[in-house]
Amino acid sequence: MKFGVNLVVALRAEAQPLIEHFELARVPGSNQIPLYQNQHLALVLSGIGKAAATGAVKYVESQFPDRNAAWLNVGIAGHGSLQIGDRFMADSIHERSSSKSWYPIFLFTPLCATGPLTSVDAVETAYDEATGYDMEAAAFIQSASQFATLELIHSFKIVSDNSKDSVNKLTRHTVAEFVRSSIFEIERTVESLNHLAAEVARRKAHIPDLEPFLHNWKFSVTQQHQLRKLLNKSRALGYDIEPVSDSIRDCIDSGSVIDELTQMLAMHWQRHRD
Amino acid sequence: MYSNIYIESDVRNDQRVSDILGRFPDANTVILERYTELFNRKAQDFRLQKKHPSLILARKHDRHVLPAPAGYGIGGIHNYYFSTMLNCLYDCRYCFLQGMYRSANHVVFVNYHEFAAAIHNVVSGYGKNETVWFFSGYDCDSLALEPVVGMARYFMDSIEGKPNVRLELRTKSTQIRSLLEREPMDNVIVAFSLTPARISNELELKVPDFEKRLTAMRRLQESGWQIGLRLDPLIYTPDYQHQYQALLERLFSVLNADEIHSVSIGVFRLPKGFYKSLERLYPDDSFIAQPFVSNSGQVSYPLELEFEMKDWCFRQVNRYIKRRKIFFAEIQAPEMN
Repeated sequence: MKFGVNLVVALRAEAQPLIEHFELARVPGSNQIPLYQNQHLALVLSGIGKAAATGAVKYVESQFPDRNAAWLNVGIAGHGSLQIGDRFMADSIHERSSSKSWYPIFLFTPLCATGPLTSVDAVETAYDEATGYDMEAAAFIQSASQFATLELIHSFKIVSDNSKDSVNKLTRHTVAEFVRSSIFEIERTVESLNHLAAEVARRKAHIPDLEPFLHNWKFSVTQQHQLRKLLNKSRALGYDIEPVSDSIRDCIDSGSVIDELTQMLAMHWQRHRD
Repeated sequence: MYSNIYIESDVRNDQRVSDILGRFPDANTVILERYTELFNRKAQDFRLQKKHPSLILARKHDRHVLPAPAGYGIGGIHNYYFSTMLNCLYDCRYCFLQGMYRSANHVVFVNYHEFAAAIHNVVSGYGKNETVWFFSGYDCDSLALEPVVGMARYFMDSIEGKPNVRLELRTKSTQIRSLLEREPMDNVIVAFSLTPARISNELELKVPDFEKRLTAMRRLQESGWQIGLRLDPLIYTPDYQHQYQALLERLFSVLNADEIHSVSIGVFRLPKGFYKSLERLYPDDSFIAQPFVSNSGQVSYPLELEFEMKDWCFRQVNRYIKRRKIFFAEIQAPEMN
């Protein structure tokens, strides 16, 4: 049962405190897009902007395709009303260029405030609205939602600049400090997401093993779907189907296996009824 | 109860929205343009959401009142339904709502006045001597969220003094205060969906205990409200006769059978598409895993079992209730979205 959380972080200064805290090791060969991991956590250093975020999400997924992962975008953001150092999780993400919106679904209670986040194509310095401003979250959630559901995709932001404190004052050191001082909230968020990812993984772990059947007969994709459904049902009804039983072993082709299993289940239920 | 409440910008200043928000002062609120941006979106996990649903407050723009599917009804000729809410607080494994929407979040349409106007518009198309039935509780439970949304209260007010308009509130809940606080109405039926306690415990998660519901029914009946019983869906178990017999005996040891408005009987059935959704959602569930049969686009028990159950159940109910008050429910769930 594989599950975990994928952190998507734009800047090296944002990533470094997380790499250190979670004791992540560099994945060998991840040269173009730096990738780090431990047992249940991966971190990808995406770079700035929506194309970079999209590429990073797809890269992580390609590296861990079998994992049931939650996704967390962590980074700094400008904000129209919050103070420097305030943390928030996005409860809506609006992409200014396309006017599209996404709504991350909270199934846990965040340790910080929640609020809107607007993804822009260039650094925002007007801070007109009471929203956060970043450059990756919309592309991040759009890409990650191809691989996970919206309950498992979130964005955690720390306010680094606003109308009083310009983005131009930021240094690598201050950015790293923003993240370091938020480690507790980030860690709790990762735990909550890990818990949800584990629940999804547990559900998928119930998928039956088709191998003994695929080894002996050639099943089309549709037939594999039918076979999986029949095996699921037999297990749910407490009826163990043994692939080496005589009646199944004697089947001449995959179609006969499906028919035989269907009949066995019906007879099992009939006995249950009688 | 709700940690997250989404509000369509169109209704953010609606008084009903303010009233509902007042009940959840700690909830996080998010403004969105249309509820469909969230509710109809792909990439949602229905089972995860079902554990912690959010509330969405929205406006329904059209199709407020729809003709009821053929066979829905309890003897009336003109039957309509309306849904001010989508999805249910309860988690009944056999229910078509489990597979109807991508989201398990609860949508409440707060523009009741537009629903009421649509109801009165429908009624105006009929003569004063023609009875027109309106069913709520099709896409949701009619009373489960009543303390929060006040739906039943509003629509009872709306049809008061209109004897040719009948309203059925279908429910599995015990939220009856809004009814007990007013005089009983001749044109309102409070219809309780029932299964035997053991089946309910297994398949109707989050539904109030049977005895509590029976107490609610008794209190309503004693107060003069008309009670309907909906033995729908009938659920098969090897000892179903024993279980349903015990259910009926218990019901009529507490309720006055002569004053029951109506009883409807229908076996478990689902349109094929909905059943497939349930198979996908709950591949490990023993109820869904039963080898049902598909007939005319519906998935149900084998025909001979369906007839046996309906016939047996009819005869048992008929021991308490006059034939003319017993109806067979043959309805189909709506088409999938």
